[in-house]
Amino acid sequence: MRTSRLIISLIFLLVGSVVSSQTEVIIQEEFSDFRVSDVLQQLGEKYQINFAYDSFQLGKIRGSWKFDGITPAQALKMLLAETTFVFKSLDETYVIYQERAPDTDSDQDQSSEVSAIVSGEIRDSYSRELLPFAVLTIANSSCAVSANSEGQFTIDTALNESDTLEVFFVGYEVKLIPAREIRGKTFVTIYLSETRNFLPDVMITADGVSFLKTGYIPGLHVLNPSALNVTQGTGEADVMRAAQILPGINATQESSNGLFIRGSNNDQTQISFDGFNLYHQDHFFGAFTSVNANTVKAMNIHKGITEARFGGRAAGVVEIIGREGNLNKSAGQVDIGPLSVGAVFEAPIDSSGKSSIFIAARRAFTKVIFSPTYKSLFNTTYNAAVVTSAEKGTQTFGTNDPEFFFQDFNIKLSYRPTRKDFLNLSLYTSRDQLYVQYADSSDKELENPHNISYTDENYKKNAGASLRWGRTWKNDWSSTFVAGFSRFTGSFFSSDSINDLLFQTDSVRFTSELTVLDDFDGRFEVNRKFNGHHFVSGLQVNTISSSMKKNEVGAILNDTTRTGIIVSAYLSEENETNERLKIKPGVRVNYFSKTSLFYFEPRLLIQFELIKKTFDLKASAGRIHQFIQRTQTQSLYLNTPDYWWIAESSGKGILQSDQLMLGFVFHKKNWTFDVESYYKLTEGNILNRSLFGNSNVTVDLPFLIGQGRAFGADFLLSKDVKRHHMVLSYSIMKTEVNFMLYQLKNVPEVFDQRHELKLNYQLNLKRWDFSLFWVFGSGRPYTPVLGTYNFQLPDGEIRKLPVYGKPNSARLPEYHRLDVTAAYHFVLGSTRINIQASVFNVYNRINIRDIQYLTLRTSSNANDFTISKRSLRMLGFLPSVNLKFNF
Amino acid sequence: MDDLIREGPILTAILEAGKKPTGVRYFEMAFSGETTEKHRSAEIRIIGDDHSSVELVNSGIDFYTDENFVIQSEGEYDIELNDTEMGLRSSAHVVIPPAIHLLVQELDTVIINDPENTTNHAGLVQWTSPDPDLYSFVVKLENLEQNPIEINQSPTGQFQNRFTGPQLEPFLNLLKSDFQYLGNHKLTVYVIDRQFEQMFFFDAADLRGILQDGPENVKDGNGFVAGVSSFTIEIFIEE
Repeated sequence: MRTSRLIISLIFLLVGSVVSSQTEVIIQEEFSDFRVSDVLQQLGEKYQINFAYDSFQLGKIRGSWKFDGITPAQALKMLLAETTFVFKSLDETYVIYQERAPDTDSDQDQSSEVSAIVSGEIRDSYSRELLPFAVLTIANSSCAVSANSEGQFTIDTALNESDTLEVFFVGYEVKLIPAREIRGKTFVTIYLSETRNFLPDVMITADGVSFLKTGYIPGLHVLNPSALNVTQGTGEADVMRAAQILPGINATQESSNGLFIRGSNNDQTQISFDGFNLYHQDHFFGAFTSVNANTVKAMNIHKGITEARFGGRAAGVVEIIGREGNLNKSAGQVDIGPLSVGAVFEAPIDSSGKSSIFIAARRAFTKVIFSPTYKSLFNTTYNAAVVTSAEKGTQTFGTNDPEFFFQDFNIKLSYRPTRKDFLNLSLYTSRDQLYVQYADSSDKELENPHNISYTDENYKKNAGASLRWGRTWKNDWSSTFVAGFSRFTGSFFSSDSINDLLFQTDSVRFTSELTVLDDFDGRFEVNRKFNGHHFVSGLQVNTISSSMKKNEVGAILNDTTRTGIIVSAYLSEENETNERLKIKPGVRVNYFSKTSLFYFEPRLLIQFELIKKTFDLKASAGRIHQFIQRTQTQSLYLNTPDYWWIAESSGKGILQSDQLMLGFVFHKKNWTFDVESYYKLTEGNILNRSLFGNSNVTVDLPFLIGQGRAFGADFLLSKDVKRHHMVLSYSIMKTEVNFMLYQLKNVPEVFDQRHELKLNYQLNLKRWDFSLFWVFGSGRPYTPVLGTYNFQLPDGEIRKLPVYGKPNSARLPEYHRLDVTAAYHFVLGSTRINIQASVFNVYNRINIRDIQYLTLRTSSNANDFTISKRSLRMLGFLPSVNLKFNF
Repeated sequence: MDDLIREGPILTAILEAGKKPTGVRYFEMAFSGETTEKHRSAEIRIIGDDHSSVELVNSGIDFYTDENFVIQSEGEYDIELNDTEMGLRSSAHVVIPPAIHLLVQELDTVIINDPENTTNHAGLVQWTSPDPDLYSFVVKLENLEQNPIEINQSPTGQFQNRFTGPQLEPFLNLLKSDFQYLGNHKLTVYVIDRQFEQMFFFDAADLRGILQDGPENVKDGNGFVAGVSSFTIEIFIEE
């Protein structure tokens, strides 16, 4: 209760501080050889005027001005007269931004005929970087077009003289372009300016707000992490944490190892980076994502049924488009966090602005500096994974300091030889490595006659590369070729030195495990517009090879390699002639080499505009097949790396998901209310047997395979007012899986969370950004131990056996936490500096990740033991500070 | 154990060739800090593949039969349980391993300080071999003396350390150091279904102390019903 009052008070304090009336003021000042940014700062402070501007850009312009009894607007006109900047008054704030004429770069149709088809591209006005998935709509009309992943678009709707185009991109200022300015032109380049100070830093566009009007894609959310001045998380900017604001995406796992969508495991969410699939998705055992936020330009998050061009994952797809280099000038960035240091460099390669390079690197300094954030994170994550005894935590600092680091590296080369072609080469590597030793000394020789010294060494890494070539052959058709390769490697080596105190013997036990996964994904796609119909067709080849080698004390326990090839063809159509009803049918046909069978996936996406620009109904239905599942998750305790299992020739292991979604979106003024209800039927669900021990029948796999269903609803309420941005999310869901062969019915999935409520509030005040994130989740399931019973063997000996309850039949306590962040940014010379302080779990809530059962020996007889229950805690109060320098 | 969920009761039984069913228990577990087993009433019947059947008598502690119902090696048995009070019907199907017969026994008597055999070798015991993919062996050595006298040599009592897991070969090479005491010993060789290995050699804790789960084979219920065959030889140890 006290916490709630504190939160409410904080919100009102933040809101109240910016609500002030602005009366007309007269300026009487003189500035000699001043930066524009300094002039604005002084005027703002002295005359209490709100200015919103890019101090980095305006800091580069110097001059002398004399304001002799004039209004702020007149002063701004003088101040910006010799620049490319303009201003306008918005909500008691003078917003200053860079003006670029939309038709600065355009081709005039020599025939002077009015072209019904206009193609073009949308770029950042500062760096000229292309903006993927930007949206164009015609004001007062339902017509809308979405740019592709390369920022290119085609409008084939005839425009009237009075029409106005609205161009959106998350994190950028909305641009209004009169249609008469582009009529008669065959190619248009539109420049958008980044909104650093006067629009919400992250604008999450749910269905029906922007993207339903463009792509008619239910379940789609778009995120622009590059505009993310404020991040929640554990010390590192984290695009997955930002995505967890959305309903239906779990935020209570404290894991950024992919996304857990609508009760599904994270292996059912595909993460594609510039065309290759990411398998190493986290750093620091899930504490934050391995995707460097500095490298991401846009992130499309698809929940549930997607367009036919996507396939292979049952729960959703995260499509990440990496940043391109600055085409105007070289620029750099340095980040210093509590765990790592990172750098970004971008530059044009040639003088004609056709090619650029973008390089980003990040490396942890945790091998040499043990920051409090690092220690806290390490002790929590590692102790949760390694067991010594019930109440004794592992001592990982002090005597045997762990050697841990992570790193990632991105390079992207972009080349546009002509306006019709683009060529991108994207390279990526990442690595996490840990070497740790710890001892478990026995203080009760008779009960536990062993002193054990553990040595664990593990790494996991991912290398990825992709080549993308796209060409616009004509205004109404284009093609894209993408070839991506990804190699994931996971390795564990553990060596336990055991000293037997009774017999005074020493022995060493070691195990090692190495898993390697190669994923090649090639795709050729054609986009064709014809008589108001938009066709997308493509051919995709995905070859996956997964191997595992497992050794134990000289013995080879496992050495297998599995390979599967999935050849997919897809076609979807969208009728763009009906403004109110958008139906997008599609089909995807997969051929799986292991079974030599075809798998059909019909898809249907519908959006109906019931009330113009206000209320849309939406629906989707379809089928998805997943041919690879992660059956073994990295476990420090079990000494196992991730292992991905390719379905067998019998079809065992193929996950099939039939999904139906019905929803609506209401949009009025600054309010958005988005609802999606869903029903999923699945076959091939996996349940790890180690969750509850052995089943009733002997099986050849370490997991059970069943059939299940999931149903629920996601609610999103968002509002943007002035400098305030609020997102309120609520999800309700239920999952049930039957493993009939094993007499198990209605087993909840591991990630079944009945209720999840999230509130994200952001406030931007001149140089300050504030953020608050609160999440509540009802308890997730776990498998309880009920007790033990004795079984008398034929020779009279007694075996004491534990009895596990039904899998996932008990629930963990509810989860909740509050994160707050404050960021301050300013310009020093030509360097923009951002200082961010954040606190994870402000009120130090003790959340439980899982329940672990330990045996406590009561004599030297292995059958004399009691069972102790241990709650694995999640992160507590965790402050961190980050610095960012842009130059 | 606080937030526990009650599950179905547990059935246990051992069907050993040549003997009547033993260790037939049916109980639910009560949890109040410590686990206690609470005997339950039920109708329990064992049915053989030769259509022979017997209904077991509830003693109030366990279930037994006075009838001449002897388990046959290689026989298949269903044990059926009907708990009318709980409306629960559980069952288990057990295949009894084939009988094994002694082929070689090099030792009736082992002389520890035998001047004619100064090595540690005691003798070979060999028996018939059923399908090694389906069955394995468990060997147990037991001293039968009321007041056993320890062998005055070192090392002794190595048997338990040497045969800690299931044996796949149908023979044993016994050593003098396997024995700890003088006098009469009983060596029992059990042939078990490999599924039963998990019960014989069950260790609730792994090396790092995490609780492991035990085997189960009762349909629509919990517990384990084991089938086993065995033979016994006697060995005398003298100084």
